[in-house]
Amino acid sequence: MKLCIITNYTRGYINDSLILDSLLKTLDLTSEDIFDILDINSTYYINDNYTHSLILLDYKSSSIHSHTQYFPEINIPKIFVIDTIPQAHKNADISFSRELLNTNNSALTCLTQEHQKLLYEKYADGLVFYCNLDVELFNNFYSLITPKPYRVIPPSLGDKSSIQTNFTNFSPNSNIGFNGSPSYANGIFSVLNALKLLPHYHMNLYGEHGRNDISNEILTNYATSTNPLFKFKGKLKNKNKFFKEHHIYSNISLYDSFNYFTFVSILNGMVPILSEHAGTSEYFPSYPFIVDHTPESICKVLEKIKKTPIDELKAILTQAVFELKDINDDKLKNEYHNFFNTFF
Amino acid sequence: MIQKLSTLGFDKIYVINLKRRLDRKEQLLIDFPDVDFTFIEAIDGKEITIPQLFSNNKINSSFFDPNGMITMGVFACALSHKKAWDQALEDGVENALFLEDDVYPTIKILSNTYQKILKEIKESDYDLIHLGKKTLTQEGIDIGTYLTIPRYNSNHHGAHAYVATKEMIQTLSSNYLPIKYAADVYLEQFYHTHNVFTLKTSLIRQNSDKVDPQSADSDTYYNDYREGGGRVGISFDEKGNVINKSIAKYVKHPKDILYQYTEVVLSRPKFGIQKFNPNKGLNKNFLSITKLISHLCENLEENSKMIELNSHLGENTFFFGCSNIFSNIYSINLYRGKDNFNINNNLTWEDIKIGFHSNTYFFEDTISNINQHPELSYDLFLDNDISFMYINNRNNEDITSLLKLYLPKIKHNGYIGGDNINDKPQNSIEFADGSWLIKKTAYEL
Repeated sequence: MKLCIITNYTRGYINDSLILDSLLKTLDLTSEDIFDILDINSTYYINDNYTHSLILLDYKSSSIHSHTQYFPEINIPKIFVIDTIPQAHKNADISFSRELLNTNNSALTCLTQEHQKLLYEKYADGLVFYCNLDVELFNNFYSLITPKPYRVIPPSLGDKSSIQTNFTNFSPNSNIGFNGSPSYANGIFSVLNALKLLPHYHMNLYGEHGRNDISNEILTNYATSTNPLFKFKGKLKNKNKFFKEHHIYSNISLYDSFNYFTFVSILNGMVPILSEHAGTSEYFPSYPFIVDHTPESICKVLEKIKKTPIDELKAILTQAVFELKDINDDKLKNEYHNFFNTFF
Repeated sequence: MIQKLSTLGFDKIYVINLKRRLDRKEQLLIDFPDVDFTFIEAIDGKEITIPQLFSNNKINSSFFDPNGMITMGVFACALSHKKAWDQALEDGVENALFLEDDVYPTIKILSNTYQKILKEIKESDYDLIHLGKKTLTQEGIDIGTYLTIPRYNSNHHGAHAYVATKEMIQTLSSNYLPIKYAADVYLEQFYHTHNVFTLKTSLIRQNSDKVDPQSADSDTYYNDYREGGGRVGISFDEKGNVINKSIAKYVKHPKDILYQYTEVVLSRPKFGIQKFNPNKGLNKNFLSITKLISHLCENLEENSKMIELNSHLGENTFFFGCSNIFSNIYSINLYRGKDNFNINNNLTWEDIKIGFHSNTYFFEDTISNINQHPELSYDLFLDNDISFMYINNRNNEDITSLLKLYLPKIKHNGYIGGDNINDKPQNSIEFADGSWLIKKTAYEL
């Protein structure tokens, strides 16, 4: 079995880059095994040299043209990784527009729902999801005429032995950190509203524009201009400093599939607050710091973290990480290979 | 006592200045009093040539620009920035400010506001900061009172005033050759990977941005071309020689627009090289196709119909069209599958479609392009209706089954031809390039 990855990711989105690195490691692939769907002639090399292809698509795309040129040329099984449900992001953006801009329009550029469905219907031999939430959303949004075989296989967090909490940088304080795209879907507006009730908390956002440039700009500038303790800092360059300076990691997403940096944060001694609506929280079955999007809920959990004795807090993190042990390279590599083998 | 001149809070300030533009150097010293500049003698667009840049691997065969504009001044400017970066690396600075020589400050340098800006810069985790862009103001995600992160491709470029850290200078320098972007567009490429910030309000602007571009004093874009009577930009022949000064805007493919940069192809054109553009010696392909067509002209009636299988770029199709003996040319192309010519020339089937159209559009009333597999197309034709069928056997495949399908369609006195000598039937006429022609009555499967 020889695998390759076909993608149209050209921008290094934080979460997606981390996941791609993880996939390469899990599946023993190198950058040589990654192909760009704009390079149509690469299809013939792929057909000659690989047995299975894993398709990773950036949903920020205005045209299906390159997809419909590329995929018909691929003769080997094409397993589409559904790393997120674009329609869920689109809906979140419409909520943002209603709440902040008083319009029903979305500025988010992505393929239409019909085009997304066409891609999966016509070209996918199988599907991989990162969480069960996405399986449900996928079926709601796309309802394929021909059901595709699928598996839920999250991105690996590394070797099993390395999946443990590192408390070196653990330092309780009132700083909340976030690393990613400062979007409405990622819960930035929810945190902003909550911190109005808890003015002593600092919120530092790291990251970049993300896919939804204009909306994210409007939202972030609104947040930083209305709350002086809310800051945007640009790309995160020194992770250790980040883990040391921030006690709480904010993942209050309205929707996400597998927020990789949330897992990185807890492995490095930060205390994530998680959204009950997000796919990420599926992997934290007994974790106590789960919120909805109301300011009251967020404040309640922040206070709860503050009041939890340090030893107890460390025990909670240790237990949560223990429950992540199955998200390791060996196990997930096997799951991928077992799934791929069904396509021979 | 000699007063120590300021470097505006940075280790050094490098100014790119053309030797012949002493006027700008003098003006700069007036506009920035008491500032210590390190002048870098700029590379002059008048003293470099495209062949020289190609041979030294200084420029890429494709150049990408939001507006599809290039001049020799753009290349010279790009190389000058590279020269300044290399000087900074040699000097061992931790950070440096890079200026072009036609800039001016929008506020009093070293004022209180400047000190506040400098403080914010020092406290930020920057890799590169634009102290000014082509517009007075910039919008983006704000990271402070003065700094913002503009959107990628927000199209307010400018490389006339930026600060970079040592690591960033190293990155800029080691990745620039061969040049495929103007200096300012190149800086924009790092938005995804580095902390590239800009001031919300430009502190340093360029004189040429104050006026109508057509009257601007710019050695990069305007001066030479205005004198020469041309418009901005430059274009090249297939050897890379400058052929005129009109706007060089060669859009390779409509998809380039989707990806925001126009591709200006500096190397020889990719189309037309397959059959009729040999480097030396007799043009066997040209002579052979004309001989083959001459033979058909002598033996077929006017207004005949023909089928061509796998026309690819349509070079032969063009000649069939030129012959004027065919009322209908059915060109059957699947436009899919592996093709070594496409791969070796970095062409896609979309490029081939465009190439075919370019080569044959003059005969578009005669040519019908059928985009499906030849094996699925034979029943589109009536029996005994086609006077000539030409098979381009690009992949050296066994064409026996195809011929079986199409033979009934060919008139009794019709002809069959092909480009691949391996398919050549007995008793056929062979041409210099290995192509062949045979009357249907003489053909035996």
